[in-house]
Amino acid sequence: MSPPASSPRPERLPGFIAHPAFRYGLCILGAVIGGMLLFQLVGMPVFARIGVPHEYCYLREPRLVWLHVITDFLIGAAYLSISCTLAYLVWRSSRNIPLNWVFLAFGLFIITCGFTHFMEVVVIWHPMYWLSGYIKAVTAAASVATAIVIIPLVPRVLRMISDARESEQRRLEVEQLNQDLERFNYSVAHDLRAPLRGLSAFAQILIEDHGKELSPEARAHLDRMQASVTRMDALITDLLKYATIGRQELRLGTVSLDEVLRTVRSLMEVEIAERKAEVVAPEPLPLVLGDALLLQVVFQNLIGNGIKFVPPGTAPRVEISAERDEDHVTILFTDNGTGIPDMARERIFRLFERLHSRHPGTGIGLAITQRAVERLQGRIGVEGVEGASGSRFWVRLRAAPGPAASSAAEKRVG
Amino acid sequence: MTKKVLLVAEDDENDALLLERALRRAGSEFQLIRVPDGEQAVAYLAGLPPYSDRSAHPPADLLLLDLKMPRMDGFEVLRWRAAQTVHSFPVIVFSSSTLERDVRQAYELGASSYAVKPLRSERLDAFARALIAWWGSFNVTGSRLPM
Repeated sequence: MSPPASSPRPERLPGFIAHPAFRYGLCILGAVIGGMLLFQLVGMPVFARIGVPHEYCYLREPRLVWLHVITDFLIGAAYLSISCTLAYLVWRSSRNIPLNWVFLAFGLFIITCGFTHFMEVVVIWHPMYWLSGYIKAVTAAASVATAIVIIPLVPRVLRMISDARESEQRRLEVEQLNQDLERFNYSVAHDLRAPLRGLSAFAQILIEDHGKELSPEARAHLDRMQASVTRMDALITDLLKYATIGRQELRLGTVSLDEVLRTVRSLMEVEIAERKAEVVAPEPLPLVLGDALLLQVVFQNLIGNGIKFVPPGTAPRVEISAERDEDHVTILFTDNGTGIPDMARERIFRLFERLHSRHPGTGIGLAITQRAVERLQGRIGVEGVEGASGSRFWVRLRAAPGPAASSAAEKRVG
Repeated sequence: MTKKVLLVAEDDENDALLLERALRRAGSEFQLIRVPDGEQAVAYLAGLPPYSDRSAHPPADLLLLDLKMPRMDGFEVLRWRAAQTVHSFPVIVFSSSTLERDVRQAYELGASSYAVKPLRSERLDAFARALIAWWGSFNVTGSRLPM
């Protein structure tokens, strides 16, 4: 087992060296030093002390001297701090802040301004006027360059602002839509069922209380009515599940598939026993990155499918196995059912697609399953079984990270 | 001992009728009182007019609460109850909704129990029997402790 990596991809060099800002900084530093040498060469001795300290000009009046020293120092320090803040901002979000090189230019401009003020402090006691002049020259270069490059940016910035406003508007629209959908779901959940209950109950009351007065034909009609109502109720239930499964909040974490299977088996106990079905997992199942409830939905639907759609006289059998490769887990659900024709293998995941008119079902189960798998950032498909009639559903999910890295992964996804 | 008072807050006539029938068939000894919305449920529970005469409108031992009702819905009734200093009666939410968030919210607001209204009448009969067996007999409320 490899130790949990703190960064998503391993690098040999420390991260900051690879950062563009570091390289730009190095270039600028080189240019500044090169400039100094150039000044020396053309007879402008950058490190020479000439004349009298600036203090002299302030008449050696302590209050005047300290007024200049303190204010110049504070201005310089503030400039430096501002540029550090900007640099940090660019550093942390180099991918998210558009135009980040403009920030860099601006930062450089501010740094050099800061040094200009520091030099004002230095020359009060040390008459290094060439150096002070040189730093002013660098500042002038940075200022003029920044001043020029930001002019063509004006239309881009304006466009960015209008884009941001537009995307904010779209976000509000989506939010509104979500709220409408929420209200719609609520209304379906609460209002659509009440009339069905009335229909069902009063049909039953007719059968119970007035059964003797009814002809067999009338009773059969009432039974059919009941069956329709039951079917409508199942449709509403499944549609609601489909509508809500894509919307509940989700935090992916490490989930044991064995645990999921155990839960689902007990949830489906009656159904499995009624159909005399066999649900087996010969090998222990691995851990995946997922959500226990959504995985239960996936297991329940795929197992339910497997045991529901069998040729008459066959004892249903669903075998669950899993393969792990690299960082994914593929779960296989192999059944001995009636199978799915090649042509229909894509279609069956769509809403309201049903293969069997004889078998019960709303045609929503697999759509729910697919939606659940998609929310787990996985994929689902179906294939035939070699030499047998059944089908094999596969679900590909991300494998659980190592135990130590699991909480970090949870945070990244959530 | 006087009959326990079951207050049913239910706006749907059919549902109210069917529930009453199911309780009767299950041999209910509850004194059944029905109010058609949340506002009246609160008025009844608080003893406000037109329910201020406690001899005619005895205090409820148990509230069976629908969620979606006009004027004041079930959640608002639960919120009102949570704000009271004394709430000695249990509240059973009896709703169509199977939405997880409705169930969770109901419990968060202090519901004692949550049951989904059954579709089939035999399930409703079973619900009525369970209601009588547990809430009508074993369950003890603050206002009526066993002697």
